Amino acid sequence: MIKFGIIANPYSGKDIRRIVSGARVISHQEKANIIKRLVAGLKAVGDCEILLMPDGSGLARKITEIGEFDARLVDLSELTGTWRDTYRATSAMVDEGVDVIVTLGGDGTNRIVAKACKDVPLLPISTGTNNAFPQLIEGTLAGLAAAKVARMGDFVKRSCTQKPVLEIVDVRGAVVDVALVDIAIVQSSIRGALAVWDVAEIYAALVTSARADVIGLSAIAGSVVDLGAPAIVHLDQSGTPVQAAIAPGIVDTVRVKSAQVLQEGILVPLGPNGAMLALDGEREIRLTPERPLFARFSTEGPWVVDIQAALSARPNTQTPSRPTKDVAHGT
Amino acid sequence: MVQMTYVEAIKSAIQEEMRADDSVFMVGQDIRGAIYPHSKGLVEEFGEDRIVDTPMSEFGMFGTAFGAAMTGEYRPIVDFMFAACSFCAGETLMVQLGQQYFLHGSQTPVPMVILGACGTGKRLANDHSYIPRAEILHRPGLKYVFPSTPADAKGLMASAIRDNNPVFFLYHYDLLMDKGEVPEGQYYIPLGETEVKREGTDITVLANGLMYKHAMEVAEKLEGEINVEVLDPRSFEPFDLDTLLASLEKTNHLVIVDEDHARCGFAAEVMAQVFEKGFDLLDAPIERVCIENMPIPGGYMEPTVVPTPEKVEAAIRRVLA
Amino acid sequence: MGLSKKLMTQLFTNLVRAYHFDELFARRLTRGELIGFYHPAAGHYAPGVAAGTVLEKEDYMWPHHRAHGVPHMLSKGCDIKYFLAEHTGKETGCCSGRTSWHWSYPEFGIFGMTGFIGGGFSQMVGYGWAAQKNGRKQVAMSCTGDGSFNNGRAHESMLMASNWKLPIIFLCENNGWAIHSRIEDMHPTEDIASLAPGLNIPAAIVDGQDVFACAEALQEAVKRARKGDGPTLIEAKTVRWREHDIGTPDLDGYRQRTKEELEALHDRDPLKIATQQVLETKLLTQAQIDKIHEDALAECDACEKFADESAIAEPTVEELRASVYAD
Repeated sequence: MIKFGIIANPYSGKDIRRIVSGARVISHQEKANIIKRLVAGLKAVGDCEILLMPDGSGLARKITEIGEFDARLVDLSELTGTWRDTYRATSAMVDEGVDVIVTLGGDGTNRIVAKACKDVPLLPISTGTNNAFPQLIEGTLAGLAAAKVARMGDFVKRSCTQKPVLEIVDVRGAVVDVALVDIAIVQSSIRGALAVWDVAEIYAALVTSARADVIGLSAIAGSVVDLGAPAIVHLDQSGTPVQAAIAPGIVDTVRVKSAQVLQEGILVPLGPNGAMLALDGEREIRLTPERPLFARFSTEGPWVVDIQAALSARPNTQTPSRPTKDVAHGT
Repeated sequence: MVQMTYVEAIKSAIQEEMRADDSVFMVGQDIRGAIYPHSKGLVEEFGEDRIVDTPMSEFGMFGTAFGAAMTGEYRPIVDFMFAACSFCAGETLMVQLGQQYFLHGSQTPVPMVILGACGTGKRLANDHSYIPRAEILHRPGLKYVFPSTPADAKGLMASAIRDNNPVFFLYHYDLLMDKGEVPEGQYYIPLGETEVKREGTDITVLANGLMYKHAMEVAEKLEGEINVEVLDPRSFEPFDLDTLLASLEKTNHLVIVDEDHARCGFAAEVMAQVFEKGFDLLDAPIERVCIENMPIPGGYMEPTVVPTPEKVEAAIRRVLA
Repeated sequence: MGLSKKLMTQLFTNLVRAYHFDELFARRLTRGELIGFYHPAAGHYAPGVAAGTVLEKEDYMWPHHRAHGVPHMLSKGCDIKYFLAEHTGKETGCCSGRTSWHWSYPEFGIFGMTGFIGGGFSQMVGYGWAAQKNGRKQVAMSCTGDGSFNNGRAHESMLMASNWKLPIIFLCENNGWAIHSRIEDMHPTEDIASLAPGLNIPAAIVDGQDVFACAEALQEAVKRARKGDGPTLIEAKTVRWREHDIGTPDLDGYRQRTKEELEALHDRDPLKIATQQVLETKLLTQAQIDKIHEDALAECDACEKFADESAIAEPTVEELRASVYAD
């Protein structure tokens, strides 16, 4: 039987950026409603099994209650209420051989899933804050698209694209973490409320793709380097002023001191010590002299369903084939 | 002296106090447009920051006044429109308001006025008609005044605003358009002074509000036959017992007319105080004329259960019999 | 965004103080050396500490009833000795010994409290109103739990704060329990923050076990309020690893909460989390941390000494009668 994994992050769409941007809290109810519509799409194409991530905050329970469908919770020996639950649930789903993993979250949620999803395609539905990676898509259509992908022969070639990543690498070359959209080096020594919303505290930003059509650091890069290019941008008071949409509802002037396009595989040292690396918008890693870290651009990130391609493709009866290359990252 | 109505007198006091003191503001529902004209035109003079309309959120509306008063920077007037509506602010009003100053070490006074219309006569039935009285008087820490005439309305309101405690200023629908002489300019009636409104020698009738009017009507009618002295407490807390005892020294008879239920009410309290302090002054048992112990019905049956001039006269005759 | 080193040190110090004072109050109640009851913080310290620490002295505050507001008040700068004296019925108490457990620190913008959950929401509107009108750029901080949002006053208060763009920060310290009832049994959504958008109030959820995270979020909300941008709701998810009220059973509905369940909550001990962060960031050395604990314990001792040496409040009934009404 075809299997789908659903990773719904109970904490996405609720953080401090709602205050600075006016974005609204996305409640358990709203997420459960989206999943109800998603499952309507998944089931429209045929029978399937649905695996859910368990959580301690009642979201999975609400999902099955509101969604009125049978789902199996993947087995996690303990719940931590942190990113580890997402990571381990994704791994468990991959081990069970799910065909597609649908995520509900923002850039931060998808970053964790991407670290564990190997070659299983993702269909990210946006319920986060800064959504450069996931897509704003109606749950029903997402369900139909995921179902078609799972029933399509050679589906990766026909309906998925491989996304780039920025890898955080230590001196021995081990990948310690990844970012799907951006890395901000911020003047903060703590994780605090996680998010980064004050551009004055950013030393530098690395992006997987300079963009003009998204919110956040990619937009800063998009105004100084060629669109689509991976880049590093250094900010400084002495730099050239550039206007960019930093967060939903905030258009700010930043001062760009320098910008370079990143070359694949080349290590970029990260500093200064004491600063925090914010990966896809959340402060995660403190830079210390004891453990020098580097960023490396890679085109071999997670496979993501192209909704337009998936919905317009005609399923055939061939056995689905997966990409052979292992794109697993990190921890 | 100028002629003005009861409601104009309330407004006149609010207006003069607001002119004199920037910390006075008024908060209520539809007070800008003035459902009752005591606030009519005030918003044009004082602006929307001082004549403040709120949603129908009595907890929030009352809290605006209570909280602002607690900070020590404002002297708010909160207008509940109908007096019994004040109970929509429930526990905050009935438990916290009276205890706030005393419990917290008598450090931060709560200067505010709680305003509301009430009373029988308009046949509106219990929820609109009933006068919250015994409940309020039973909560220590609160003051309570009720004007009977335009002059009382002005003088009591001005004093209530100047008082450093929460003062309930309730007023009567049926007196709104009554006209009377009112002193010009700022005018204050000290809280806690019972007024002898009509001198007499045979019997004392203690009455207030619409009941005061009934008492006066009966007193005039009985003129020549029975010489009735009419006393108006005006302020129920603090209450001036001494003026009543002084009157009883002369008349030795007492009828208490109270537009509230008899049971555990103000009339019962006054009786008890008179028994304690002035038992020897009495030549006959005291009579109370109060509202029957039932929710006040509206329509044509209202006079059946509330005090009327006829019931007051009958009580006077029984006491003197 | 971001916390200065000075503020981080203050937050950490206040968290340590809150912890030791909570232990002190709980211990004294158990020994019969405290009047009345005590609702321990027991893991639920960080949001109150953050709330008190990010405010200015003049800002208005309504502390939470948990830990009887001690984390909030001490972080705001109030000397807890007067509160302990109050809690022991002494004449030096902050309410002259009249309440056993109410606060009154008028010069710190704390004018009183009530014993009823959600009972301060009404007055918060007035605090906010005063703060908006007096032109001194004050803000008002309302600290309540998740249970208080089951009360109608919460709705009215937020409604009016939003209508008038009052400078109020509604801090919901959500420990998931209303006495013995789980939030999921009493409230249709686990996130109190989801109530706010319907009233056009921005809201965010923050880790209530991380004092620095709480402070960052609250600082942002305070900034909005001071700028005139109106109210904010911050929901801090926290825990309570003891009974609601010391000496009463620690129930989950009508069954005992399990030992395992309570022990697991200690994994998210706010003091442990903060200590790890100040050490990792080299904000403080272990020796400095030890000193902060020593100072806090010495402060506790001094407060106890003050309270114990103060005379019992025994005014005459005449004195009390003269205190009911203000002149």
